[in-house]
Amino acid sequence: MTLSFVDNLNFRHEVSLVETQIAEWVESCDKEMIPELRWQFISGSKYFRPLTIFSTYRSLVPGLPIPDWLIRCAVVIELFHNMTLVIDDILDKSPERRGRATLHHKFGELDALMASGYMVAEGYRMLGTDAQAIELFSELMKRLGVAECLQWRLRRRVLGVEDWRHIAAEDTGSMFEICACLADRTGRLRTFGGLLGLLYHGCDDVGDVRGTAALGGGGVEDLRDGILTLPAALAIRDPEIGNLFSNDHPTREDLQHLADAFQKQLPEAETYLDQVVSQARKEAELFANDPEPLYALIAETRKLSGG
Amino acid sequence: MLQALTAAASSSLSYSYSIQSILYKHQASLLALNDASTDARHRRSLLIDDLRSFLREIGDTASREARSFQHQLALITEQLAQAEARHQEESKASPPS
Repeated sequence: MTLSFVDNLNFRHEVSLVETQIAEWVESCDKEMIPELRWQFISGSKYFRPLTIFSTYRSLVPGLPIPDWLIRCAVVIELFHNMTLVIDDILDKSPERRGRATLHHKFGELDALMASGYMVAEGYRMLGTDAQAIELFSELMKRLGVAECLQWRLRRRVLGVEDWRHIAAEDTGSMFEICACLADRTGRLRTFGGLLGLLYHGCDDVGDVRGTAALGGGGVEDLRDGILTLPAALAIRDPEIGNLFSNDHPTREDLQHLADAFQKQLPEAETYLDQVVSQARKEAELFANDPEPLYALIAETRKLSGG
Repeated sequence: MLQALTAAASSSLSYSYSIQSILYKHQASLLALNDASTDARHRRSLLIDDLRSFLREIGDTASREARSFQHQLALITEQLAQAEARHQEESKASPPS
């Protein structure tokens, strides 16, 4: 683990604990499943979700160490997150993620689907008698399922920024919302978590468009599948771009034209993300006992757009 | 009670200020609602998106201010309970002569 933001947020020890517990868990699984799980978890997560859990806790209980039950929640959120990655990769037909073969590409779709189910089942087992956490993870599973279906149903549709916001809030937003609620069982930082997830989703969209300038970056699948990203939602307000976006069989020239149009929207997308930053900071200011850890988390998340 | 009244007044002011800021931010779209020339598709989609954003922001602001006020009242309630508990402990420690 050499990610600088882990050090910037001052959670190196806690993230090491999460890493160790995941590694130990993988080795304790059924030997039929170990190769798949090793492959999935060896790639190295950014650990933004555990960091959200830890930062939320520290903002409410400053000065106290992160308790064991919260480390366990962070391990479980990583399992659930990896389940979503596996499903996303199958859906997007992605051969690679972070420079390595995706699980389904390496082991086949059956193994990937079964491994994703295995992760979720193990996650629930790890939660033991923490009924509130079980409730929160159940809420997350339901919302993620609905968001994925919604996003897929609405692909190639000429929609607005508000539609993007709704999809992003239910997709990534719900995951971060639950992270905040796991650490803050009163729920007063739930909206903060949702806004942080929205910011993460938007920064990821913008970062992907930066990488697709020559149709070789991480946003190629979104472009090909007509997924409503933030730059797309801004660009398709132009009817000509909207027509291209809604085309079921775009040519390579069409895709390049769309990529260029999305690229032109990056300054406006960055401005929009800055507004989300303000909203998230406001929530932290109003509802945290010490908002500083949350301000730092927002700042690290904002850097992900690469702007 | 003075603290609670101050929190209520402060929340009310903050809410009014936030609503004014939102109205100011979206005033061009609100004015364009009565403009007959907004039927061009591009401008129309921009207008609709902005009005949807306006309505969401109004709702978000109302919810945030209500939650904030509720949070402040909870803090005051907690202070009140703690002060009463201290008072009772002090009364027990030094009974009236």
